[in-house]
Amino acid sequence: MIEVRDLTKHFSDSKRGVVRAVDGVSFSCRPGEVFGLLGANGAGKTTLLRMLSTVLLPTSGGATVAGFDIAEHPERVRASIGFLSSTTAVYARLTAREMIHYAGRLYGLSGSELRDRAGELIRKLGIGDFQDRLCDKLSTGQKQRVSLARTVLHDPPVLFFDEPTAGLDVLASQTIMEFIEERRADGKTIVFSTHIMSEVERLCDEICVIHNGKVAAIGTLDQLREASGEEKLERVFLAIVQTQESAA
Amino acid sequence: MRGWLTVLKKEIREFTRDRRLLTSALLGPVFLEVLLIALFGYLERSFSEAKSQKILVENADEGAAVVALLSANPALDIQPLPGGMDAEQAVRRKEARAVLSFPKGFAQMHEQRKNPEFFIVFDPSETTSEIASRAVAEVAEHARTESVKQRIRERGLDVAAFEPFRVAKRPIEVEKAFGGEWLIGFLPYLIVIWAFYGGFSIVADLVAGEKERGSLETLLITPISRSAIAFGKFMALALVSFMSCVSAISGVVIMGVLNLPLTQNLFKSGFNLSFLSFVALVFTILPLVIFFAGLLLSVSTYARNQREVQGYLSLLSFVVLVPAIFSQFIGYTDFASSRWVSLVPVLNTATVIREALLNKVDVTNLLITSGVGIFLAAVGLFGSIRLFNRESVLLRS
Repeated sequence: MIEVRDLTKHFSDSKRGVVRAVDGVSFSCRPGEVFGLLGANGAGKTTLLRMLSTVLLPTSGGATVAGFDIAEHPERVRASIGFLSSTTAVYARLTAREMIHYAGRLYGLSGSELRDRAGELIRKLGIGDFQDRLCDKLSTGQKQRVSLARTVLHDPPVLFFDEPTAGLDVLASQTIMEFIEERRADGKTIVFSTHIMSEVERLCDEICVIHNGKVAAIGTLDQLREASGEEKLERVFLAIVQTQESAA
Repeated sequence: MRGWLTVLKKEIREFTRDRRLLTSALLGPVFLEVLLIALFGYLERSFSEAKSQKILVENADEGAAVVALLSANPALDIQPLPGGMDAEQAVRRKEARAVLSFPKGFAQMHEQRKNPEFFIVFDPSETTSEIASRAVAEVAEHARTESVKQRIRERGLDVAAFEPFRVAKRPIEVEKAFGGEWLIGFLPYLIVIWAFYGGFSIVADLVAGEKERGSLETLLITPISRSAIAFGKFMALALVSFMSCVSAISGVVIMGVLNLPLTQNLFKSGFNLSFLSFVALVFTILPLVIFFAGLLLSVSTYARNQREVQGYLSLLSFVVLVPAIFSQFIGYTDFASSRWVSLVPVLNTATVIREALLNKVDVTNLLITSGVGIFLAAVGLFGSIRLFNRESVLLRS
């Protein structure tokens, strides 16, 4: 469902010169699977997800998402994905329900289809109690639930989660983790970016360790343990990163 | 461009819940306009009343004959100078706006018909004193002329023989203007200013604010094109700017309809706007609003955050304010009829608005101004959309 081929993104920086934010990344991800992108801050995870969601153009390489090429059919790619990050915000002067309906209209939903779908998610995610309250007045957890509804309202086959639990308390994080597990059970293709090891251990079927914009290792958790000779994921991650730095 | 209407509707919904916007962009112009017109009405009346003001007389006995002539005119309230004070002191202490000073021996010389001189003492640095001195001089000149005629008649001569020619004013027939001179000088400035400042209250929030809050990325990930998003936001901005202009004009209309005693001097001719003038207003204001909306949206798109937007707008304000301020005074210069004015953005619009309010629209000026406006509006619109389509819209955050 997601095929990434030698994807590269360079930025020009007046101080640092050419920055290789993502450098020749390749992987594939199948439906019903959570693909984890594990890396430190600044490793290139967000840039990679932004390219896959067509917000940024790759410098070279390519990818297909839900069968659509990100360079040739960016609008079809965007129609096929849902994206949630920790920085995703809601509009302060819209109510929770209006926020969800606005997202639906942007994805081409209207009339009874929009009402039914929004109603179902409002029920499922427990938004009903505060659906008519302005987003400005909602708690962080409530806002995140509205964002979740907005992300899946158009029932996309592919979901991107970019550090979705950053800054959330345990309960709100739990809601998101359970939500992702449910979507995996629904057969969605999920890319989950994080630097929190426990989340990777719980959710990811396959893990791609990214360091300095490059793929340092890729495989299941067991495969990575075996390759690194470490048991704890934190140690596995450090061993992989150190190996890559030594090679460089 | 599918989806721009969805963006526009959402922006409007948010605007209607934003008290700051409602106050500054929609209620502010009408309120400010009402307040300014009331103030101008008061000032205009004060200047009119300056004609019937207190004038003191130093050595009133010496100038009794002249004072008697001047006192006959109700425009002047002539009183003797209080004892212990001379003319200059009285003016400096603002006891009176002007003082008539008759030198010793004036009465005798006047009686002997020896052409004596008296003085109007005033403060040239005070506008009210200057006006009072002119009013007194005018009345005195009229009294002097009448005295001359009287003396000619006393000698049994024909007054006409001593008048080589006579002068009379003959104003040409013109369309009635929309409001008084003050209003016509000031209104174009206000309309232009609100077309620009109307969008100020929302522009920072529109794109830079979304970057700051993190909602822009979510918007860019939706299937609607960036051009559609930019166009929806652009239309929202243009709508608010246009509503600010309408609000400003509404303030004038409200005061004109109320026709309060305080502002009657400003609306002597009532509301007389010809169809051509109305067309001129629409075809100059709309392109200007569109141009400003494009300009403001470009700033908000380029800036990293709302604070940076405010910084850029402060600089941009000067570019808009200078021609707008000049437009207030262009009626007092020869530039008003110069063709090059039609090519200067903002100034050309204000000039056509002024012509429209005077009901003296120059069609060539109107066409050039509209052409320049439409060109700039197109540049503003396409420029802002182009900027929105760049990667930097998200990366400069």
